[in-house]
Amino acid sequence: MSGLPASAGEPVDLAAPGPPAAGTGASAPGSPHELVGTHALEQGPLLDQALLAKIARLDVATRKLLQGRQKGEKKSKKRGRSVEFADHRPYAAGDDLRFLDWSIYARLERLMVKLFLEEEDQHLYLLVDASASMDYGRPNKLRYAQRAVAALGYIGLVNQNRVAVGAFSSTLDRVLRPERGRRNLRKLLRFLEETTPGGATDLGAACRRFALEHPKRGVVVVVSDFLDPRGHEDALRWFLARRMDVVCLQVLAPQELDPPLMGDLKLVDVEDGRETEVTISRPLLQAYKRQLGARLAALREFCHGRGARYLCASTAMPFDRLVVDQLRRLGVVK
Amino acid sequence: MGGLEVLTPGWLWAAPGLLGALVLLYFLKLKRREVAVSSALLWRQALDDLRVNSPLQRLRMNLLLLLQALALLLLLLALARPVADLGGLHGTDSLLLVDVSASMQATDGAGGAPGGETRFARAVAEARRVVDDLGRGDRAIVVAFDDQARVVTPLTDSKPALRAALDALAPTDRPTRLAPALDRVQVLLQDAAREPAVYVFTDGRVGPLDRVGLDPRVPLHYVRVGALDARNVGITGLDVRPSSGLGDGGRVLVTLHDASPPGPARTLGLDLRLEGELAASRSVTVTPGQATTTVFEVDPTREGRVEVRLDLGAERATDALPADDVAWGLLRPDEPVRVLLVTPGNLFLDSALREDPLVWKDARGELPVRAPEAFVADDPALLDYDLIVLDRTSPAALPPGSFLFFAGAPPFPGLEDLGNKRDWRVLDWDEAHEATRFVNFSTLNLPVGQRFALRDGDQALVRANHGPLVFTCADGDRRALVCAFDLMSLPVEGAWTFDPSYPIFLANAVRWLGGASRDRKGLLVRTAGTAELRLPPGARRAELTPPGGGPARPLAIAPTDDALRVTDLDRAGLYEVAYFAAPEPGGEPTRRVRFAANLLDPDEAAVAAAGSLVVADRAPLQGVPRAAEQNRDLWRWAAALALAVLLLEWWVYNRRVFV
Repeated sequence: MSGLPASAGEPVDLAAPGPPAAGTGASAPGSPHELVGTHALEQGPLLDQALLAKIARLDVATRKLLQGRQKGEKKSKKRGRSVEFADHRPYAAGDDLRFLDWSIYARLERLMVKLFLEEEDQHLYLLVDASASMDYGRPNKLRYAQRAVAALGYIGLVNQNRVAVGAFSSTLDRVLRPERGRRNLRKLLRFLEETTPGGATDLGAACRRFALEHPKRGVVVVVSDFLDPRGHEDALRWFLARRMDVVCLQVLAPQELDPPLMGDLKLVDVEDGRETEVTISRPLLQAYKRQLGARLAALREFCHGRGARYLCASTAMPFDRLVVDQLRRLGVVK
Repeated sequence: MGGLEVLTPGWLWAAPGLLGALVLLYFLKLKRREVAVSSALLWRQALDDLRVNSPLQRLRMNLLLLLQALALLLLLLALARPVADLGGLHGTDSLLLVDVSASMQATDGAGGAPGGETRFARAVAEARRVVDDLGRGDRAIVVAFDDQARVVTPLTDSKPALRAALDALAPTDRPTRLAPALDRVQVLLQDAAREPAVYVFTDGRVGPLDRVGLDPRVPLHYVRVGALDARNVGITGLDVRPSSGLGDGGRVLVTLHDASPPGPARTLGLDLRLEGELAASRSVTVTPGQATTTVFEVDPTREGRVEVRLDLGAERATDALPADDVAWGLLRPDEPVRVLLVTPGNLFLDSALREDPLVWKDARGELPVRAPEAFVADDPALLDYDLIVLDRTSPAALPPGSFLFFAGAPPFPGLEDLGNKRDWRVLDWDEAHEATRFVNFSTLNLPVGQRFALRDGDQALVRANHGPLVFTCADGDRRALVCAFDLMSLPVEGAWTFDPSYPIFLANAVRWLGGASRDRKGLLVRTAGTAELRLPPGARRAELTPPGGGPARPLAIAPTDDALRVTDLDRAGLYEVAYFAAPEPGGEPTRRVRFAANLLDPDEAAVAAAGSLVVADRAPLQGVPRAAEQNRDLWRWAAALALAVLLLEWWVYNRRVFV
């Protein structure tokens, strides 16, 4: 691996040189001038046949038993009418006599009712960061995030999960209502294709609104660069408080992991337009990498401490490897 | 005494302006390239991180400015030539006496084996060092000396002028005499208002110093160049004698002097070349401390340029002074004297002059003779004669030239003919004069003679009871030897014309008046001497071409000169004098004469440097190889420090965060 954690458990090594930027433009890849606004330059399909073939048999995995709206294929914490036995309880007036365990009555002369695990449908919430900072890098971060959401959404849909998608920047900009079934794949892809970058990042506001609008528990995958000056803790707590299975997929460009910058520069933040005059020297680059490493480590520790899962992915990483290898190893898909 | 001063303080005056410009530039915003980034958050945090971890970060901006200002000041200081005053020359007038004599061409300037830097180059370098050490307000004079002293610069505090004067010095082939230079220094010191110091850069072979005019209280420093045990063999004597005309050959006498420290005798080669061709070569054994003379016999038909050169062979590496290994001369038969006899008929003169081998005769062996009435002063043909003998003739005018009168008087203003007198008796005569030496006038019995009243400047050579009987007189470019008697009226009995003294006197007169003896003396001179050459009749201008060619030097000829005297012969070798009839420059010379100048000085050949100088009224001066350091130049240190500060600034710059 070239400086990026292959999974949440691997340490971040930012001192090592990053991978070369996989530029698609005619100019030299990795040039600082060509790193902003690259989303529009990458127009390939979000999902190709080769990738679909690899992920067709995958399913979304969750560490928690979740509550769905309809009878579904996922185990629920509720006792219900599935075929999988769960427990016994004493009979009470009004219980369905069909669930009396006659064998126990024969042995103990006590009326006991059999309880079964209820199987319900699972919610998969996909939240993608479409702020201006995501429109950066080669390959482009937003495009990479869109492809990740498309792949996970596809897996969710084909496995009868209720898949809801939200795109946010300074707030929750657009939402695709929960749908299930393969037939909604086209709607999902169209939603993603229509998502364009822009605006500042406010992760907290977006998560708060999304959590309020989607109270059902499920798997929440937040795909972002998590470069929000306000931090990520409060934002993620909206989901953690609802005991959702939270997955943080941090997407960074290789040019952010190992900036190809040197000398006297005026850095312009694409989100807020603030200018920072720096003379980039080796010590400053090392300090930058220390800061980035600390930020990644803080997010990782936050997630691990609260049962959430975390993966940092460089857009230089082949996308199929992200889905088939890294996400499966992380337990997001199985 | 002590402290620091700068030699070119003008650079320091530029410091305020340059520092102001530096600060101004520092406050100008650096034009930065704009780069859009996804988030500047991490960069800002990195900057904060560096600031937190580097407490001096805030100071670093100012530190860069301070370092740049410091480097600038150090560079200006280096340009200002700071010197540390070590307390030597301070407010003094230094007199730098640089020996330019022949021995300074020895190649042991560094004090070691020969073959390296010359003593002269070393002496100039040491003198330059003293000049470099001069402090502000110090002054100096450069005096070059060999056997005579020459002030090269006036008393000045301009170091460039002093350095230029030292660089313009060149060694000569002349001997060394320090005493006249010190006498000259004493005169120069009268202009020195401050404390003087005299530095002598020499090898110590400077001649006697038992009588010097320099005040004993004036500090005298002897900066010695050359090795104390230098070895040298040189040619210290040369004489070239032409054939006598009686069939014998010419002779070249060469004297070698081995001035090496005591040791075994050595055998060296000695080559004689005539007009560049090897004419003879022989081996000569020389013994340290002794002179050896050898004689070359030369074919009587050979003549021309003589070059005698020592072939040192393997000894060349130990011979310190190559300049005295060669000497030049001229092998030339005496040039005939063209004599015109103006007489109504005189057997004694005609026969005596015809018998003189030096007197020119025509192809038939006849002497040019004219009758007195055919003698016209403005006849240009008269200028072709070196000597005109006027017998019983007193012309009203004379052309330029030399004249021998018998019973006649030259028409020189003031020379008064007092008429004839009888019964002359010779009282005495000048035995040292060239015209009268080896002549016995006591047998001259004169019944009748002319009586003259001489003028100031006329010289009586033979004095008799009635006055001068033979005398010399001159008027401008006319020179005459007057004999106040008639050869034809001498009594037959015991006549002087039959005495051996008569042809001797006539031969002396021909050689003296005709210039032959003068030329003989002038053909071979020493570099410190004077070449005295016969002045051809009608010569108005002369030019001297030094050995090896080079620009010709005009030589002044005054109308009263009877000979051309050439001095300032600094280089050994063959000189050529060209005579011109027109006083204006240009034109073809009417005559060319070569002569040789050589060092031929045993004192210069003894090149071992003297460890000390013994000067009258002083304790012996010990020679030191270097003049005491007076000021230490610090500009190199300042420049090196400036470079170090610049490197430090570069290092700080590369560790900075902000500019």
